[in-house]
Amino acid sequence: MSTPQTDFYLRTEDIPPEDLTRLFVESSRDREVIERIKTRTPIVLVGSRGVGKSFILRVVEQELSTNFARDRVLPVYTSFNKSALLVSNDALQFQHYMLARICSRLLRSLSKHGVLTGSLGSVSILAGGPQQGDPGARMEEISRAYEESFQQPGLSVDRTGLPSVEDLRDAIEDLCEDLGIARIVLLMDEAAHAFRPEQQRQFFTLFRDLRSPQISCNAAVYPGVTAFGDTFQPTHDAAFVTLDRDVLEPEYINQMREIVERQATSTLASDIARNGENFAVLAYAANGNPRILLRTVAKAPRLNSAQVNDVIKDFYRTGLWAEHSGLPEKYPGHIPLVDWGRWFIESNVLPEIQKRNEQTLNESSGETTCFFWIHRDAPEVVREALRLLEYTGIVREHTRGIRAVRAEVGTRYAVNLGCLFALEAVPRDAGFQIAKRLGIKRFIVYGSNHSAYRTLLEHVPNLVEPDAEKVLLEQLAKSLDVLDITEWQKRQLRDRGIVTVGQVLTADERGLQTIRYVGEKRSRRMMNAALMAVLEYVSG
Amino acid sequence: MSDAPLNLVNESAATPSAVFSHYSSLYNSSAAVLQASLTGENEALHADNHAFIADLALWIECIELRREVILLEAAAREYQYALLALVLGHYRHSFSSLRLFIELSLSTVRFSAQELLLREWLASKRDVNWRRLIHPEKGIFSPRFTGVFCPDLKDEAVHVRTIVTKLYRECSEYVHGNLSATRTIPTALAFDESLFQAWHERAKSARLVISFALFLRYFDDLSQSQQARLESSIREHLEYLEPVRMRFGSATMTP
Repeated sequence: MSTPQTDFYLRTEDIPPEDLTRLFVESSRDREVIERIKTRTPIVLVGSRGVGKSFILRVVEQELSTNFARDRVLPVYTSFNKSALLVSNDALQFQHYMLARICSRLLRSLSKHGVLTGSLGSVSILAGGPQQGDPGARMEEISRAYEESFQQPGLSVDRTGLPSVEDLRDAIEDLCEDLGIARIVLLMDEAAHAFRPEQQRQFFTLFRDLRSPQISCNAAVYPGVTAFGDTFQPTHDAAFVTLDRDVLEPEYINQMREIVERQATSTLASDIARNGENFAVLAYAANGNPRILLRTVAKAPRLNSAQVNDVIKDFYRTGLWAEHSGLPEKYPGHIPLVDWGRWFIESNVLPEIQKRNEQTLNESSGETTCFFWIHRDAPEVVREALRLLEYTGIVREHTRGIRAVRAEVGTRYAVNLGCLFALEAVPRDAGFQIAKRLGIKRFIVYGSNHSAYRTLLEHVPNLVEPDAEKVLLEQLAKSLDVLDITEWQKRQLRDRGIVTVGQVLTADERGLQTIRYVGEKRSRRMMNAALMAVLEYVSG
Repeated sequence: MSDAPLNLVNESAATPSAVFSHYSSLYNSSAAVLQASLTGENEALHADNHAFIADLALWIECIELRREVILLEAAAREYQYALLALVLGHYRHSFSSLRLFIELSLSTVRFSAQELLLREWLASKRDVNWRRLIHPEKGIFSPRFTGVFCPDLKDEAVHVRTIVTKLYRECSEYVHGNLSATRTIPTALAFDESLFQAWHERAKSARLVISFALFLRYFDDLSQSQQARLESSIREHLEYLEPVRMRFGSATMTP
């Protein structure tokens, strides 16, 4: 049997720009989100890892770019994924780093659209002064210095020439007037580090301060971001839009199938056709997360029942939980929240839901469920634990303001379907039955003082921000096995002497070109994939 | 039949000419490839795709009175050549013939609904056009075409179109001599396990696509006895589709 397909683009950053349109499978919800981002209203796009936030931002960038000549709305995409590497001695390092990145990317976008003129004073401000050659060079130098500060923690970064927020805003206003640009649309990806409240505060302060008639700010963040700083008001300063795919939508399976098909070989696409139910089980288990679906399909490339059963048990019983349980290694203060959250879901929620579904499936009608409800007056620390579970994709906030027993109001959450299926002896069979009859009407109820909360309340967690430098260095020393890249990629890196997370950051891609049939393009792609995985890992 | 390669005789000379010796040597190399291709599990794999020749013959019988059957007959011959080329180690040609098989089979379906185009093709005034075959709005897997001939397979047709588009492109890499494909082909006439497997995977996908296309176009117009004769082949390739199962009177797949 020939080698089945396991090599997928797992991250948007890995996809060459020319392939974005080909791989994009648009739902009506996606289109709604895209159109909202294009408006003047600042949007904060919230979604778990792998759900497609970056993809949406890149599509917005492409569409605005295509229409720039007509509409004069300039997109500027920038990612702050390397902010996890910042350990300089600058108290406002995040803000300064983000300013440098924005200036650099803005100059690049202006150049790409053929409107950059070096003679303008505003350009000089963005560039950090008059520049010979590449106007973005100085800003890129500043960004790089911050990104490399992990190699010399506590380093002082020379940020001569970096404009202040006010100067940047004024320069953009002048630029727009001089160049006939209607508006700049900032698309800021990986904007808020999930576990560094100080970075979140500096980001949202910047987000708020940049607002002007000529600048539309938009950002993509993970769930659980709650530190907004002193000036940003979540209810007033942005619209928070959640990106998700509802498994209950009639087109859900078809859409997920198309997402995989876009990257599949003919053989895999045929296997998906022949094993429709098996594929559907994996798609339901993935809860609308394309990256998780691609990862699980890569682990079950023949899509036969045996593979599907194995991958559900392995990935959703072990893999996904391991990611969640790994959080305290980086953020020791969160241990009680992480441990309680795991216990709550594994020992309370999932067994209750499983029992309920068993009864339902023995009857000829009735809906199965994957939902539970938390009273709105439940302790804040419980909600904090649930936010961590949302971050790793174990749980998803479904609907707020739902009335349950005695007309009490609370929030309905959905537990990860894959985790639910994984409880079964034969996940593939039971999972398909559960998914076919899934509905939102039934849910497990947890009141404001449920006994399950007691153990958490007894150990109030200490959520002080950890020593970032120490945590980062520990992560960089870890084996590259922790990275979310394919086994094949890990093997290739190891064969070339790259064995730790930190070594991936400093590796030279040319070493990979000694692999058979790996030329310059493919080696770059592999290194980029590994690098993105490192940044994601150290970001939490 | 002897297992050893034939001892060829150069009938026009007392001693074999250099040319004769050269091609005899290649012939013997091909014989060795055939031996490896039809041994053990490889033989079973080849037999599985080989069996589709009989399925194609059945379809040809069922539409023998239709003018476009000539295309399906040509397609079937090309499929057989592809199988032969594979076991002789002519890998590039096996992919090339597989591709032509797909084109001709799908053209059968396309021309079945367009008499004028068919007659032009028969008169050598028109070529088979791949882009037209798989056009999302005008091709044979389009909502328009499937909506007319087999509405309950309209949704699945979109996915089958995706499969055949990829399949065609993958085979084309060998036709056009793409470097990535060329690198995989042995420089000498020799058995290559991964190419053998890769071809068979693509042939299996081709069987699914062609069975789907022929089913969606012709099945509902066939007589009951013709449908019954085709049942085994159709179930093998398309039983995963409920509309297909329903036509044979069962909602569930056979265990």
